[in-house]
Amino acid sequence: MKYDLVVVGGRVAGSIAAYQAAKNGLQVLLLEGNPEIGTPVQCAGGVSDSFFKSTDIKPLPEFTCTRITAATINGPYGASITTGNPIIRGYIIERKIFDKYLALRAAEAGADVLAGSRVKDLMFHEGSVSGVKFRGPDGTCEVKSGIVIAADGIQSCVGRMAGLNTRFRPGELCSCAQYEVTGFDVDDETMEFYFGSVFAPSGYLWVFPKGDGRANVGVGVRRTRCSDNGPLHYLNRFISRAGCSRLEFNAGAVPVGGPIRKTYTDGLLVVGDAAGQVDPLTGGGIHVAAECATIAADVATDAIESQRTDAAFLSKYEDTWREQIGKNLDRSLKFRKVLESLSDDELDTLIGSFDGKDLNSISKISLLKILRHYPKILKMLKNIL
Amino acid sequence: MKHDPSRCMHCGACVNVCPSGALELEDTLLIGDGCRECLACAAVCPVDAMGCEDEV
Ligand SMILES: Cc1cc2nc3c(=O)[nH]c(=O)nc-3n(C[C@H](O)[C@H](O)[C@H](O)COP(=O)(O)OP(=O)(O)OC[C@H]3O[C@@H](n4cnc5c(N)ncnc54)[C@H](O)[C@@H]3O)c2cc1C
Ligand code: SF4
Ligand code: SF4
Repeated sequence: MKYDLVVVGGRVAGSIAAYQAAKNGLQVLLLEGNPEIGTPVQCAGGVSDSFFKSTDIKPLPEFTCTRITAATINGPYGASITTGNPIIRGYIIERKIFDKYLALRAAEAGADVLAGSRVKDLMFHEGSVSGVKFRGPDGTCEVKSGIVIAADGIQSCVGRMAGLNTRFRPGELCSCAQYEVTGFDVDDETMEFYFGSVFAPSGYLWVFPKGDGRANVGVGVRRTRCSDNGPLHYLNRFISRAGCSRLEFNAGAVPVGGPIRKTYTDGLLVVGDAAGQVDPLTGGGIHVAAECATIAADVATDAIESQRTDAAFLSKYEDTWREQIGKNLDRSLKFRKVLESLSDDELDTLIGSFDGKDLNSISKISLLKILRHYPKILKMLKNIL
Repeated sequence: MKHDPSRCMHCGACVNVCPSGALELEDTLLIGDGCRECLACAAVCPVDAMGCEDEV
């Protein structure tokens, strides 16, 4: 069996890459190791309007739970601001259904999709990746492929098998725990965030409404020593006050230290969480994964058509995504570092200082005016803004 | 390294950070040779299923 492209990992990055490549006319195989695409969920499901605009995916009622029009940011001591800024408008989606929809879309575009099929090894020809070995319901199979896309998440064994360094250090991963709860007092159009060491040191706690008192409530923290409390500790403390029922428990980790250094090699590209393509400030990865996956599929198509699957040709993928989103990711990383360096007191006063101001129309200049009372923050922000 | 399979959520975070490549995720988490007790896996595990304390 021979394909033009084998995509490993059937979630956002993988399914979008497979869809785009199949649409471009390639013979594509999409392999997902889990028995069911979309489970277990490792996501809170927040997606902004810009994702749907840029991907041409419609926010269908099947997978959208709620329409989001506002966000509330809470400080550790009770300071709180709510904004209806258009950039936060979007949806809370049901990832299980959404991921399956994306895989279905890839299949309808012509890709072969195999769930329950875990890649165990890569095959090489003259030093270049030339296929995969995977184990699935039909036993162990070998498939030859012009190019392999590793969209296998933080585990990214596939990138590593090809000799790329896809490893993150503990401080670069944000460990997350989340419950889907019901019976929770929450506004259906507002995402809530809680900052500070009481809620989530070096991270945040989120409450994303899913309608009728249902919500995803989760905590992400960057923990570098195991003697510190993990995300579950903070999550349980928050949730125990609410007295709600838990419908689901999820855990996972997001890379928030910026992308890996090299995302291509002979015959292989790495996309999505596997490549660290996540906004380091918010931990949001769906929109970034989608953008990079589309670029990867287009470069893979060019490579197959011109019979150039070598690293020198495939480097176009990395050049393109770094040019399109590299700067934004860098800036987010710097912002995150500024935020994390603030004490609880500073955080709370900072959030409080925005109270009563129209956040929708805050310009860079008025932001600097507000911040003039916070010389430390100003200094740190100077090289970002 | 001690591991509690009843808590493990198979998220793969520990596999990613292990500098010795000692961990592998199959149906369960496999701990191979080469562990140097650096505790990176325990630090990133969201549910404390890798042990550094005596609780695991
Ligand atoms: C708790 C939590 C909340 C989050 N909330 C949000 C949010 O609200 N909004 C947002 O935009 N982002 C959020 N993110 C980030 C977002 O979920 C990820 O960035 C996104 O899912 C990345 O998609 P991916 O396809 O790159 O990787 P993944 O979703 O990790 O998918 C990788 C897939 O590859 C499969 N795989 C791995 N190895 C193999 C193998 N050897 N063979 C075959 N298959 C394999 C895995 O089973 C998995 O299905 C959150 C993350 C977490 C952990
Ligand atoms: S303690 Fe360190 S070397 Fe041992 S399994 Fe964990 S991460 Fe790997
Ligand atoms: S990090 Fe924890 S939950 Fe995730 S696979 Fe490792 S032991 Fe299991």
